[in-house]
Amino acid sequence: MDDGSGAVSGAGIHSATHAETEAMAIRRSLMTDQYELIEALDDLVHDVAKYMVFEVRFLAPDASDAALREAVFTDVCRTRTVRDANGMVHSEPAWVLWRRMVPTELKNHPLAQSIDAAMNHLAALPWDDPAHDWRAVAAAVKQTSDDIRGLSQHVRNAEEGGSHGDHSGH
Amino acid sequence: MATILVIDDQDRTIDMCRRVMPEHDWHGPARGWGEAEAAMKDLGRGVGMVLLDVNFDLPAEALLGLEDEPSERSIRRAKRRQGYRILERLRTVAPNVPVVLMTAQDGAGMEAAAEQFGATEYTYFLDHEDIDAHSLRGQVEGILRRRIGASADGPIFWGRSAAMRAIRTRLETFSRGRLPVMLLGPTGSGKSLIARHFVHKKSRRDGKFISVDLSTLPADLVAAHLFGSVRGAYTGSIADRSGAFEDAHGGTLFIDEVANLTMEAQKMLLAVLQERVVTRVGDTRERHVDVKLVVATNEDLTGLVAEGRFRADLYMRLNPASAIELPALKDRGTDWGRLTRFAVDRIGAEGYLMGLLDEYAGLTGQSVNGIVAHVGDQAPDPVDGMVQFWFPKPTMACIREHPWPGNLREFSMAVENALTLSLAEAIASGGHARRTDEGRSDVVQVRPKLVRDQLLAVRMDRSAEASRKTMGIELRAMSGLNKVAQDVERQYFSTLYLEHQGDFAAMASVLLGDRDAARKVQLRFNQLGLRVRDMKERIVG
Repeated sequence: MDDGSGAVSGAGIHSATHAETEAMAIRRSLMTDQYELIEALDDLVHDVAKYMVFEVRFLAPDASDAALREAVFTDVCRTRTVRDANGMVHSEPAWVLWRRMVPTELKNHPLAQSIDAAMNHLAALPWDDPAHDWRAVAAAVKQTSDDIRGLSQHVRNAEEGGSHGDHSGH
Repeated sequence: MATILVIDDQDRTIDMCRRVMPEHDWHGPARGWGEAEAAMKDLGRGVGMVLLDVNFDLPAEALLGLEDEPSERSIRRAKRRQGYRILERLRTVAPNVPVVLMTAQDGAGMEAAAEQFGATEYTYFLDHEDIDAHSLRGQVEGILRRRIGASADGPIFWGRSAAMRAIRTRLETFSRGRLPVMLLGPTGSGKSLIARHFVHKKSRRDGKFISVDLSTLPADLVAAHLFGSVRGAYTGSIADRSGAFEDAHGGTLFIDEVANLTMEAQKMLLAVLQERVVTRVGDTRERHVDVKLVVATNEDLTGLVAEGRFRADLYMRLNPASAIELPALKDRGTDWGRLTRFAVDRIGAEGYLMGLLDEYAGLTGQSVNGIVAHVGDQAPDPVDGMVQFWFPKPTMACIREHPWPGNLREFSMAVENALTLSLAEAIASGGHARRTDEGRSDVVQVRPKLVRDQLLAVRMDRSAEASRKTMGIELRAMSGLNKVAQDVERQYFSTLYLEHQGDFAAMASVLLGDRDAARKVQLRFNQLGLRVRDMKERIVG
């Protein structure tokens, strides 16, 4: 299982490259209008909020603690998993995706800062410890997923209400 | 078991589907159109369903819909809408395979895109906390059953009476010509269904079927909706947009409640019929349109012409010689037994009873693949894998004697209620068959009292002019309450949807006291297995 550092280990699995991270930063700098911002948030909801609660939601109600832990691990540490043309699996944890995808315009928003703190907490969890309270972690992950959706909705509402340009959340 | 292809850039959806629904043969994920096209060739006609993601994170060279030297921004947008492009291509090689779009996107945009590109369904499944393994499975099974249960005539019941046979023959003839077709008849008589599933099909046209219900459009937007508009043509018109005529080019346009046309729109429609060109509101450019026009009304158009509220020249252009009047259900010489069997087949194909059926099958320890109606004095012979709903003679007498003012629409809903309540009763009794069912758990009797009470409630509601405010059914505490509640909830949502003409914000106001909760209501609407397209047919039918 992963050590929680962000570089998910395992055969054929590696985290986002530095070049990819740079490419994302360049893309963000090209966001010239609010529509782009909203679409970037839609991407966050699609790629992070959705998949970080994916396995847990489809667990049977009477699933064992071990099954829950496995599901939470997959949701948080292998949030985005794709296989390339060579069959190589690429996987990224939620906190890496979050840091890569959150629009810079929102980094001072209180909700974004709260999500940031929650992601840091997830990154530091003892993922190899079966005795840890994984049900509490699952609840915290769900809250973080909801917060990402909330952030997206907040910005959308602000845009519809005509509050252009200020995404500080104040 | 069905062969299901997943088109997705990630592994997680198909992994979960394989785990939750191991009985199906899952293929994929096909990452983009190239792999999807290859998979469709390999699988041939065996594909029973496609699950298609909308957002694809693929390299630019693998994306459909990009110009030669795309900007960073156009690449991002192409990724976010790649599913629609794939669907467009998919339809060229597999026009009839059910396709389910998987998305977290906003409902209205999704609906438009699904309509435009011919998705069978669009769903929020996989992206809502209320959707679990059970409901996901329900959605997939419902779609598969609908496909298996689809009859040659689709949802249209013609019956065997000479009058209905003559109508069908006449309609088929007019469907093939280029002139408009006019459908007359009372509410619920099936005008919309016939336009969509018969006239459009028989016209053998390649274009789309577009339906416009003028009773649901504000008068000042009718012209823009039908003929299109340019930016600034009216308040709130922020971009050029095509109208229904352009959208239906090469296909069929159904205009329901045509008597509601404003005088200005009547003038414009006349010009379209005469010249076969359409001019968007606020524009001068003419666009050629080739559309099979079907209009419907419940009003006396000749009377409106006499009163000067409907243009005589337009009336003549609408080809009144082709007018086909669909009779009220009571006047059709209906074979009620056949109609009942037809309705039960449709309900089975729609999969609406699946939750209750699963619970009943679990209680009685039988394997249930579907439902069928049995009409007669004696209990039916067993049919392998089927639960048989038995409509004995006294129950059929209740059905025959009811006036059915809501016609086929009312009949379909009444039968669905009857099946739901009968199955709920059977579950409440612990799955033990009643004595009248001769001790067989594969037979569920539809009792006359249950049907009588239900129809009486509807009549009482109507007399109090409150039929749209109440369900006309009453449920008492019983086991399997969750399933019963879900079926009742589905009926309630249907009623509200019809009452509010598909306005989810208005429904949210009624249900939650919050118009802003429209998306939440639409999510629940989808989860209950209701489909906007079907409900629209009910509204305009």
